[in-house]
Amino acid sequence: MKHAMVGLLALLGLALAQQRPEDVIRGQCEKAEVVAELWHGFTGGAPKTALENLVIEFNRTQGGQVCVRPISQGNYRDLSTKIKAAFTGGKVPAMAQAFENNMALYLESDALVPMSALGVDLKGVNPLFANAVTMNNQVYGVPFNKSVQLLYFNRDLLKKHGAKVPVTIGEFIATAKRISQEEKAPVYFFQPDTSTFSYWFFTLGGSYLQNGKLVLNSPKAVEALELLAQGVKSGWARPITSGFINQNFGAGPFGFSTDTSAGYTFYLQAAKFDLGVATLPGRTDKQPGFGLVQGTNLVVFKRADDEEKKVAADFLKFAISPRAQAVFGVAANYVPVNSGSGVDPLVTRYIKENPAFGVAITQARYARFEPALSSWEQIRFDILGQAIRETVLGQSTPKAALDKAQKAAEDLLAGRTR
Amino acid sequence: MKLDLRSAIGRLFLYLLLSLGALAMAFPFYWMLATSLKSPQEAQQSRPVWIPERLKASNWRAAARLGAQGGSPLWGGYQAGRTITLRIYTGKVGPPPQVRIPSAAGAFFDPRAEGSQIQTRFREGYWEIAVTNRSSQSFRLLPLVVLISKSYPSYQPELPPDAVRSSGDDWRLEWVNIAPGALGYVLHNYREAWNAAPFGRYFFNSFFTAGTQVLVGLLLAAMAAFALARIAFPGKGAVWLLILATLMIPGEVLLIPSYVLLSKLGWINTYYALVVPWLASVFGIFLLRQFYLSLPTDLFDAARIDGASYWSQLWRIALPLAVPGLVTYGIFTFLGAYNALLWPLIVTDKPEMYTIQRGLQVFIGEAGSDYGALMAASTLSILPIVLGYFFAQQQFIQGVARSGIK
Amino acid sequence: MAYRPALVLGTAVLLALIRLAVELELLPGWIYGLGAALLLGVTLEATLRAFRLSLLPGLGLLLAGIGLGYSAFYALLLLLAGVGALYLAWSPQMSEREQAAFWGWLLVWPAVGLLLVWQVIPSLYALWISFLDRFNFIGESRFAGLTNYEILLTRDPLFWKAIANTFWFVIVTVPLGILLATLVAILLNEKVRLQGFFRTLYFLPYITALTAAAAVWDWIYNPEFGFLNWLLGTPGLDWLSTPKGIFALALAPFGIELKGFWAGPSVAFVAIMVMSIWHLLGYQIVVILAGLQNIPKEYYEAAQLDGASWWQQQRYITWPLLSPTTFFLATLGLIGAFQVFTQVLIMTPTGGVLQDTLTITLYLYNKGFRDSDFSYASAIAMVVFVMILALTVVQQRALERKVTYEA
Repeated sequence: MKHAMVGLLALLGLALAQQRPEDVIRGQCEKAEVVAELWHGFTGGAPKTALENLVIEFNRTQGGQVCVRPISQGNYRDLSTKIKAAFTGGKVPAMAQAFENNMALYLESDALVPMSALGVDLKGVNPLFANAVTMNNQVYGVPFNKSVQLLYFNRDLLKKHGAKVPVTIGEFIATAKRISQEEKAPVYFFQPDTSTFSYWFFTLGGSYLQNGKLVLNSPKAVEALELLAQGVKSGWARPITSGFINQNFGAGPFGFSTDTSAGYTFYLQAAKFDLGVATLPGRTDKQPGFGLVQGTNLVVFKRADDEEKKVAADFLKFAISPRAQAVFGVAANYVPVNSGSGVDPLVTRYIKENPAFGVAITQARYARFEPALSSWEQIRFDILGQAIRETVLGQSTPKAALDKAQKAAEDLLAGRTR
Repeated sequence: MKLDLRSAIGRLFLYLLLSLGALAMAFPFYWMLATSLKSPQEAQQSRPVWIPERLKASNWRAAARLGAQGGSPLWGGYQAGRTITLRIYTGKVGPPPQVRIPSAAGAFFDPRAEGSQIQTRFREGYWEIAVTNRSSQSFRLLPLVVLISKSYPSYQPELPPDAVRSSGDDWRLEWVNIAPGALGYVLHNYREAWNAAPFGRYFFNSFFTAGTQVLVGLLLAAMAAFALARIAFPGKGAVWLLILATLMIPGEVLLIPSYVLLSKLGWINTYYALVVPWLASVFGIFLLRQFYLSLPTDLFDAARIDGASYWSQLWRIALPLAVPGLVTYGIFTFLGAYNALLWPLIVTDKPEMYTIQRGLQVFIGEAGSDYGALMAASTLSILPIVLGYFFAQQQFIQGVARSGIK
Repeated sequence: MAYRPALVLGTAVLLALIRLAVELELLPGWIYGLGAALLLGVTLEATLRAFRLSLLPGLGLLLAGIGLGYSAFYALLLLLAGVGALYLAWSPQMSEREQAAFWGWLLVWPAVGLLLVWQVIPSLYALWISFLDRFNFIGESRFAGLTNYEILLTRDPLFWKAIANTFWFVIVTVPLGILLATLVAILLNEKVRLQGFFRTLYFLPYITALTAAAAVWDWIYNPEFGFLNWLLGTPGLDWLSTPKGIFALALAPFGIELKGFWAGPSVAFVAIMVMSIWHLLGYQIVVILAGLQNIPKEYYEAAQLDGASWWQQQRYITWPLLSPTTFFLATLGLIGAFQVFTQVLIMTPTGGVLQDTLTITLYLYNKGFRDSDFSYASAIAMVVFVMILALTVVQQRALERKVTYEA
């Protein structure tokens, strides 16, 4: 065990200090008989290097006969385009990253292999994550690089106004109002999009699917949107309509935001104040609020060769193991999907220096997902997103906007519009 | 052509106008260049930083001194066995600063952090931080994080930190490299950009594919344009309409159908896929057609009467006279090929086949961009083009003069 | 039917393309037989009409090419050699028109052939896809006829919004860009010192890829640390997120309320237009500069002797004689501006806060690559094609009359 860990670490260190990971992998796969390709959407930086290091370690354990080759296809949009192009007659990879709505699309054409057929067991994986990749009562992928929403706050500002970190929604709104009044500027920065809306919606008790039907204008949805609209009107919420929140710190005094954990390093880089991270405010003080989970899963395609699928199965088992998720999560700032990673010494040591990571792990126990419909991306941007933006910018009322969105979504799902 | 009588004022006005316009055109590139020399925090300041820290001569001396301790005064480094001493001037003594070497992103085990010994001592008026490389490996750079208490009324590090932020009761100072050397300091982003990916290979791919497109495409366009301009053949109108019409379909819908064609040919991940679909350039055909049309008809009529075939008309008369058009076509086709992103991205996925634009994508991340490195890489990528164009358009002027066009 | 040599050439090339398609499994094999028969018929008719012995080598090569071409791809070279040999035998007796026809087609075929393969065939495939129901390349789709077009033209308000936005973009950027470029090019053509330096500076924006240029302008428009706000002293003004139409904004102080299309392009969209003009200016300047070289200096000297002012010289000499070039820029400019995409995607990836910077190509891209509905995207592309075609034909008719080519 210990040797394996040391080996893993040493290899990582070697990869870092000398060769580029892609060169190491090329060497590993040169002599392999079976090469399973993993198509991903990391263009560069820590996630790409971390994935490549993970693959290096996996290939090492396979003794050289088989190997996995990760291939970057650009960003996630390009990745899904390339996969579609591959289906037209090129070579379909063994594995690829896929969001839940991508998975729904692939399943419409029965293109994925269920995990049970591969012998991949999701025991130990966060049940909420595992649930999200379960469709038609079968598990069709494994969660891989996940992030969850957290509460970012400005410690300096809270200290200045003698406020403590809010734990409930009520406290949050009260604190934000008070500080905004004293600062004469809204301190809750939020992007008027479905992601932010989902946090409020979920935490107030709402759910998108009711009896299997998509409902966008439920009373809870109206309540959540009303809250945001009121926030803007009363002057404690600031809508950020262009760029990421961490690119807009100069717009005014930053107090809070409810944003993805994947943005943590960028927040740190941009912030000149003391950045704090906490779990999201909940409805009551008994548990934190529900954070939206984003990020991809790994899926295996039916059209790949059988030997490649076998290699893929082994890799998936490895990728969701506690140690691999611990190393990968720490390196790339993703939430480990395996609950066992939390007690891994790498993680505990890392959390001591970077408490934000521990917060994300805690928050992941209170995570929710948006519906896995193949047309969800269109709905969340063009339909629901439009309603949210219109309301926040004062061009419509919450109820009217959401009713319109519901009608548009129904038309879309029924095939009457595109 | 001369301006009118009051030529002195006229010329002054001319220069003024041109310069104002040039300023508007070129100013964003000043920012690009400046940002490529900034630290991450400087790049995101609310008030524009006109002169980044890295361009200040006073810092170069400190950078060279620190660099010499770890490696060379020009490029710095953190070689095995060396010690790098950073001074922070605080005046009076107080709580000692906490020093740490941050782990590199992407790996957890960091031989640089593990193999370094850090000692902090207070000398007269300043804190001395000595970092020794006790490992047997040499490293290119040494990042550092120093937490210095807010109780100090002022502090002055020898080398300005790349980021300063508040952290509880301390200020958190970060350096991307405390042993940079003078050149390494100024060109930090460039070095990191160059090392992030095999840009040499990317440059080759970009130049090769662009160059081939220009050369072969030039021939095809010259031929087709001549026919469309100077030869009366049946179906000419339909051909012209067809050629123009191919421009009218948004290329994005043709992406995957073309991919299907390419994969059937087995050209995915080859240079053929990058070059062949773009050899017939409608822009080139159209441009050269206009050129040929603007040449006097009597030239061609005379040649025809003398018995010259269409082919020799093309080579001996039309082409030499259309040199400005050919050069223009060459410039734009080269640029179009050089700057193409979507197409190469779709038809290639092997890193050996990446072009420059694909390589730049490395710096555009999921939740934010590494602006400094991105601007550095972008500057690197346009530098050869700018130089090339500057020299080419000199040739262009000379070529025009030589070809006898007034 | 007089153009027999050209016809033989044409059918030979067609056969080569058919052979390629059969090789790629895009067409069934018997179509090659059909094409071969056609070519055979045409050639035999042409050769037997006025038979000469010198035609035999060419005929032989041609027949060998057709025959062997069925099994070997390279045999098509024999085919083309045969055509060449036939031409050599025919040429002494070919009439002027036949010569023109042959050479015209010979010079045009390589480019046209490539365009046929790489543009026309994928377009026809895309057209086919537009008749399917939500085709996404992964699974099968059933035939849906004109459903996509029906939905697009009757039940899709976002499509019309995109059309309106694109319309504003074309109307503003194309004429403005060309006029500005002409002015600058004329100035740059004067004998100024540092001419090369100035020209390079004006060309700089075009040299850099749109992605990098858009990133730079993103900074300029940034509400927080953007240069424009600093210059104008208006911190916090979010240029790229202001969906209010400029006409509405301008007339609001007078109490006039403009809505929808007549509110004009949004502030955000105007910001993108400025960036587009800036980017394209260099390219237009270079093209016009090349065109300016073709204007003989004598005209200006003569005009100067006649006492014409600088402005009159530009108006009566430069502008008309530049018309082939500006016509070229206008034609391509219209077609290109209608398909504006990259800079909009980079600067406002979601199409603007209230879809106010959504252009037709961005809409198409979203439908195809985001929503995986390539049928709908193809339908949009076809409709756009027809629109651009119609507009271009109108433009050509209206403008080509005004173009003065050298007499």
